[in-house]
Amino acid sequence: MPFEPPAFERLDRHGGEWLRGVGPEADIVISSRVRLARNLGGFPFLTRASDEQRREVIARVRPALAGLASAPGLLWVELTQADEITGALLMERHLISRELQGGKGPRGVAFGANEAISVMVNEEDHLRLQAMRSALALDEAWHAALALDQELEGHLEFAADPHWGYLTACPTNVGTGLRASVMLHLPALVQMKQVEQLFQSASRTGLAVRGFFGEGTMASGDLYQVSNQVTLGKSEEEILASLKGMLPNMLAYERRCREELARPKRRLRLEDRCYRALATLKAARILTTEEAMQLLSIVRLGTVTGVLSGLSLPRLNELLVLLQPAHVQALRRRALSGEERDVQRAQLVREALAEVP
Amino acid sequence: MVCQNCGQNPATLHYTEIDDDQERTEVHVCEECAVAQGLSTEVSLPAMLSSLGQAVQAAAGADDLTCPSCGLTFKEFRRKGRLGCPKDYDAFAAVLKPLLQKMHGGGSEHRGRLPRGLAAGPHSTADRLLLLRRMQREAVDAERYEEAARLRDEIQGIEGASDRPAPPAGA
Repeated sequence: MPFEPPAFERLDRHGGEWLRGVGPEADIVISSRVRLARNLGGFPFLTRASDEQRREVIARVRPALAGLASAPGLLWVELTQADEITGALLMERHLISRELQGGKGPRGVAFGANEAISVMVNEEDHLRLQAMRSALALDEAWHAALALDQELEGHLEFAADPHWGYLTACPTNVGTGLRASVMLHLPALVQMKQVEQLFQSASRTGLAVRGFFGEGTMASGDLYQVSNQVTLGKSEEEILASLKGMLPNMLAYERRCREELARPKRRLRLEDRCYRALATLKAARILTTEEAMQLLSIVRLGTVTGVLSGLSLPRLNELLVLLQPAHVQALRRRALSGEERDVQRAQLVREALAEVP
Repeated sequence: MVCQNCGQNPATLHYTEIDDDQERTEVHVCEECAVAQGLSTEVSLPAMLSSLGQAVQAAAGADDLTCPSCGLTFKEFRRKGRLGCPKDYDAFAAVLKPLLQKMHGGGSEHRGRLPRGLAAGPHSTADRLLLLRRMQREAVDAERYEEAARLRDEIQGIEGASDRPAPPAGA
């Protein structure tokens, strides 16, 4: 079946803002994200809303999203009208969650052309405002989300209460409705089997660690999302400060493990792994997503430790998304079976790395 | 996929260990075992709700608490882990408070931002709309269309009277 790319067709060619690969700590921190959960007052939450009421929520929200100074020119995609590949493409770019992609009933997403802002409508809450930035830039992401929230407040009445704060469908989000997260690449910690330690110390300070695509997903390619768990009883600034306060330790931990792997007694082994991973990516005829992400993770480790040259972080970040299943199909402009995808993925990766020595 | 540790619960935490000899081991464990092994940092809501189950049942009649605005019972909330409308926070306040405190590391009172104008309180209007929308939905479900139409008009009347600034045209 041929796949017709939607209006935002250039999405499949390049990574969005959060994948630019530049900014503080970009060798470990892929991206920073802040999301705010909001619900409209006077409406039931979505588990008890009819399709009619969901449509009414969309009818309220869409005009409010038009002409915002904090988020100009948002594109709207109605998930009920989007084909499967488009839905998956948006999920792979982290513009929507798995829950919104696989959800039921009227729902959609509005996002900016550079993909730094996305607003999911009728996910778990009526609105999920998200601001994304490349590398470690939590403050910038927070200020972008705050500006959007404050501007929307002028057009929409959000359900809130002086005691409980912003009211959300799941009590784990009540209060600020704020989830701040960073996506970390931790290949050395994984290899040195120190990831469990990280989980433990994160949990002691009230942080959650998740996989690449969020809640309940595998930590593919040594990528982990670290976020706050507590949303009630702390101000937004305090929540951000607790995450930011933990990060230097986590980053130092990963860097120590990277140094350890690069020490003379282990260096040859590291070089061997990196060159083998690159050689496989440059030569493979069949590549699953999982294998490609794992190899790419090693190549990334090789790049940041100076073992490999010829690849930039922006290019590696871009590849990370382009090799995902829906992106492979979008780039080939047709729906592909799993096996066909693995063949096409291998070819795309070979083309992308053709110039790399 | 079943937890490889206890062999009973579904595995929800997945990761790959790679040792020095490039030997890769995939690990799939459930929430409980992950917590027991100090792996998980997730506070699982269903797990917390079920652990609270006993305490809740001790508080006589907690399960029968019903939200007057959306009709959700506390028992349904315990099963699904999702609330039905903003008024549930008031309706279930007595049982929610300890749950929230546990979930949010002791915090039980909001200390962050609030929407501008909340203090002035369009609260009763929002509450009224919530109730009318539920009645309208029930009327539609029961095919009482005249009543549904009357309720729709009432909702529109209330919304028309609110002085919220109109959103800009177009989308």
